[in-house]
Amino acid sequence: MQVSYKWLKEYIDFPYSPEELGHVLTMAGMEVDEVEYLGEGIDEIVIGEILKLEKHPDADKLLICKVDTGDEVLDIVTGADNVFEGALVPVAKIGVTLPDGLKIKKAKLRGVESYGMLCSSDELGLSEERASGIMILGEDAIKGTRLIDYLGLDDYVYKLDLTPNYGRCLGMLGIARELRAILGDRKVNYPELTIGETQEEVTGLVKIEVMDTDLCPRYTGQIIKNVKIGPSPRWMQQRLTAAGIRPINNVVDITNYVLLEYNQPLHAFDFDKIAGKKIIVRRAREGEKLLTLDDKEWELSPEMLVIADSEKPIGLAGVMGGGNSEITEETTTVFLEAAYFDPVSIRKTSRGLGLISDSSYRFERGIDIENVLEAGRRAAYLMQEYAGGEVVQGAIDVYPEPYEPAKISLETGQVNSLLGINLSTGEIKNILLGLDFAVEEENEEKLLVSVPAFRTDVSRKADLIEEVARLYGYDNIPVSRPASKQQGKKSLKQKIVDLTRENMLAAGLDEIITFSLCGEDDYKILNLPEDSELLNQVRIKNPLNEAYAILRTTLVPNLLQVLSSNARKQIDRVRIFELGSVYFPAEGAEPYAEYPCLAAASMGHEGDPWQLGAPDFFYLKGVLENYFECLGLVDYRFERKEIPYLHPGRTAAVFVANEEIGFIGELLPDVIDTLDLKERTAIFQLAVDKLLQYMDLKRSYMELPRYPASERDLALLVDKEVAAADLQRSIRERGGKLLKDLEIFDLYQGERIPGDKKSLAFRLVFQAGDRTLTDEEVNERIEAIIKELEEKFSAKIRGN
Amino acid sequence: MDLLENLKKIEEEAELALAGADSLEKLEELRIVFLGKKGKITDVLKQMGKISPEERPVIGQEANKLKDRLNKLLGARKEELADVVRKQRLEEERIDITLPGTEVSAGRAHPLRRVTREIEEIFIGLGFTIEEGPEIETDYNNFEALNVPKYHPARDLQDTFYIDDHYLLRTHTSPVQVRTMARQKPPIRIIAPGRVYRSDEIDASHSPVFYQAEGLVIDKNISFADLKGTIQLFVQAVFGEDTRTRFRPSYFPFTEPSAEVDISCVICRGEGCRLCSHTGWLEILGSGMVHPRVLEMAGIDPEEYSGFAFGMGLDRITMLKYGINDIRLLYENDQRFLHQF
Repeated sequence: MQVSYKWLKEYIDFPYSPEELGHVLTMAGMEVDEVEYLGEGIDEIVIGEILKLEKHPDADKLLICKVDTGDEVLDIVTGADNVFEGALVPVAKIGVTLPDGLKIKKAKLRGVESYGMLCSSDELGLSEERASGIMILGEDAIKGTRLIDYLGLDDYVYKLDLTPNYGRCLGMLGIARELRAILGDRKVNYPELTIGETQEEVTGLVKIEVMDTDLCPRYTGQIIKNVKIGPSPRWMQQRLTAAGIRPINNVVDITNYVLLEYNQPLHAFDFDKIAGKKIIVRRAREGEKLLTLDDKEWELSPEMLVIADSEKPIGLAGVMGGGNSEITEETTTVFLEAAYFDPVSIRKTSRGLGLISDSSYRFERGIDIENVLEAGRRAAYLMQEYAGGEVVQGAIDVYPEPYEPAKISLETGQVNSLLGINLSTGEIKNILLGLDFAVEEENEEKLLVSVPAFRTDVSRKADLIEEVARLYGYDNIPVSRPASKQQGKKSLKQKIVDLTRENMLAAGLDEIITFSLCGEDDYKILNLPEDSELLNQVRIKNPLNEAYAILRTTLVPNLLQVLSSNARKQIDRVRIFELGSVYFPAEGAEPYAEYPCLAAASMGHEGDPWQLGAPDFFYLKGVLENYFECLGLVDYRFERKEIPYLHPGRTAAVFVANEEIGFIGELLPDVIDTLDLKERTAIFQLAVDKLLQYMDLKRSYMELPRYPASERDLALLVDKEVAAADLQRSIRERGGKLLKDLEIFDLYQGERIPGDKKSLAFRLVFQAGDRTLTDEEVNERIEAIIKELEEKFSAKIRGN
Repeated sequence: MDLLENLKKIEEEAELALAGADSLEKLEELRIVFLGKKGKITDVLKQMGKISPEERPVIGQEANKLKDRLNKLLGARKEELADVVRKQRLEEERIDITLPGTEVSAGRAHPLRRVTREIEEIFIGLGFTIEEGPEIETDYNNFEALNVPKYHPARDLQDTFYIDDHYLLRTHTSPVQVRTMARQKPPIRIIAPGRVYRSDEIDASHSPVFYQAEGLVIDKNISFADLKGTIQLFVQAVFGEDTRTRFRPSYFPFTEPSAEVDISCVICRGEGCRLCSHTGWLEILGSGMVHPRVLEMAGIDPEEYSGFAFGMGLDRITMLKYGINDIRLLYENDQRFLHQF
């Protein structure tokens, strides 16, 4: 809704400046999005009359105009050819700056002095397109006055962002009523509607039949004869333009004007085009077609309400009129409809067709059913005054069930306790009376409130309490805080998520947040088999576009995108993690499931602990091991696994307590190349909720050792294929309780040993809690370990 | 008394030599020269046979005194020299303390998450618990139970992604209210941060995926004044003690009365600037008293209980707090951006 300051002032004499009005409207719940001064940049342009035209002595295409600007006559040279003697035109005098920044100076054009400039409409910013000549004003323009006064542009327009409960303020009178409620001491000026009717009665000319009174509870019709179609008066056009509606002709403009005044959509039909002189309000028949005013043809269905004549639909009720009954220059008799249509029905029709009009927008929000006829009478009055029409006597009003106001009882104590204020019953009564509610005092503590028809948003006590709060002023309500009865805290699961995040940050990974919406194309890089469960994705029915059409089933594509976009900006050391959900169709009570996931990626890591050219893999593996330790997870292991987009020799499934909960691996070289990543980029992903069942955050103190430890190093030569973890497990088993610590500190593969072998060096720490271990005891263990390793892995001891 | 004379000479000689010794090695040499087994004092003692028995104890005594004295001198000199060496070492080990420190490799928390965490902590301090809910929600929880029936114009306020006829991607965190009320009887005091979806084209201020946090308090005698006080405290905790709040009438189907909350502009502090479109105010959250219809649908008697709810855009708060002017930065995860926080 766009509201003109000057126009609004006609309905109520408010004391606010243009700036203040914006604030008042906003604080009354009508948020002002934008205030525009219509005369911006052209307030210094004056109207001049061209007294005389002379040809320029030295230029064929230039004219010298003697222009009377009221206080002086100026010589102005123009190149436009549409000027004539007696024309009234906009003049920019010397010193004036035009909206495009051009400053007018005294100029010499081919030797002739020019003292200003005659302007075209586009130079004044009044039209988008380039105008072909100087703007010629009507004969009613007065020379020497400001152009903005003539054009009605000395005005402010407020763009209101009205919430759905403010339907009543989609009309000027509704806003005026709100201001009256705020001000309390003045009245609303209702528009003029005195009609001089003809002898003929409307009932003799037309019949109205409403077949679905539930979808159309009130329908009124009037007939205006002998209208002369032409432009509407300039003031009306100016007001429509300020409100954002394009003027068309007097009859159509009048219906729009009354729509803006009363918030009552109206429709004018060319009466001569109505077959059978009968209006039928009915549901559309299946497959029935209608061409609307916007030249679009629609196929209708029975849930849509139409206005029909005896043969065919001539309008889509409450949404848009039909082309077949449109007002044209030839129209002489108008059938004027003013009606109330059911909001839900209008919304269904309008949404169903994707056709939203100023009318449907208002009907959807509910209009004032009691005021339908008055608004119609106002339009008839305007047609009598400004379209030369003669209003046929009477109006047909099909209104089988007149409005019964809802009655709501309101206790003063409840108002005060819900708002935290202390108003008297009388004060509450006055607030509601100011808003046009009818109020009876049931007793000292209780009011009985009747809701006027235009308050379609009020149906219960809470709605009234809101009105009291709004008019009392939110600012005036005091500040308190509720007493807390419970301890604020996070759940264990939430704490673990926090702990996970902290652990990842401490390990050197940056946290990222990515979209959970993605496109099928994002999964191509993963090269998944068709039956992969990751391709069983939840789809959006109405996506923005294909790139955001599905919900992710893994975080991997998101991480790869972030790595790639960073790599392409020459950032080549990236370590990131995301904690986010993945989504799957599910079977069972809930058709969809969401699981929290932790995923991390590392690119360009420095330091390659085992000289295997896998720095990122082992960095991420270290991150995982450290994380598991932090969660008190002991029973975990890594097992070789193949994943289509990961390096087959450098990928592992992660098992916790024999359950596979994720994977870690290096990306395939092709994937790395496609995404311009650094080589050796690695990634992991875990199902976080599965971790929760296995973790153990309990900690208890174990006494510190009091006896010295014995350290032994053991270098083993084994086949390359022997897994370090298997060796470790055997050493632990044989080492027994006394083996307190075991660590691999070196891996060697190379020239000094056979090509199919590797050398692994272990450091073993033995310690007892009750004594100093003797060399013999330790040696015994070492020998047992060596024996086991020799037998099981054909390991050879190097330089022990 | 030649020997006494000798000892005297040795003393003078030693004093001189020790004072001149400039290294620990030199000092050791001198010790051997004077105090060693073949040293000068021993030499004197070796000549004891040549003197009278009466004189011997005197000489012996004097020689021992001299030994003690030289040992002390030696010790003192040694200390002095060690001190010099120590100082010299420290001097040599002087470094350019302006060189940069070793890189510490902790990761950086995402700004959106920092703000979420901060907000959670504030409300935990006020006795709130944190609740969560699914992002794929039912139409009922997202709309109907919040007093937005089908074909209600309020559905226009939110452009919704639908999965099928009954499920959608939640357009706000408010369905967590519905879930909580279905599970828990009052008193209720929760905050629910989470991911939400609207079918908005991406630009500097819109994103189809973004974050909200919802708050809900239900108990006996909860008032609009309680709402105002709670929000004001929250705003001051996040944006600073001198931040002012303004409650403006607004509309949400699930609250009544409803209020839009503005804060004094974080840049101009209310003077008016580009960020606040010269109004001095920034809109940061929606709030209101829980609509009695919403309570009724959840099986809570609105005559007995009342409550307030509020919802805020976490992206917007993050952007205001850190002066981020484009929401896309939050989801692009450019390292140069992430490392600023």
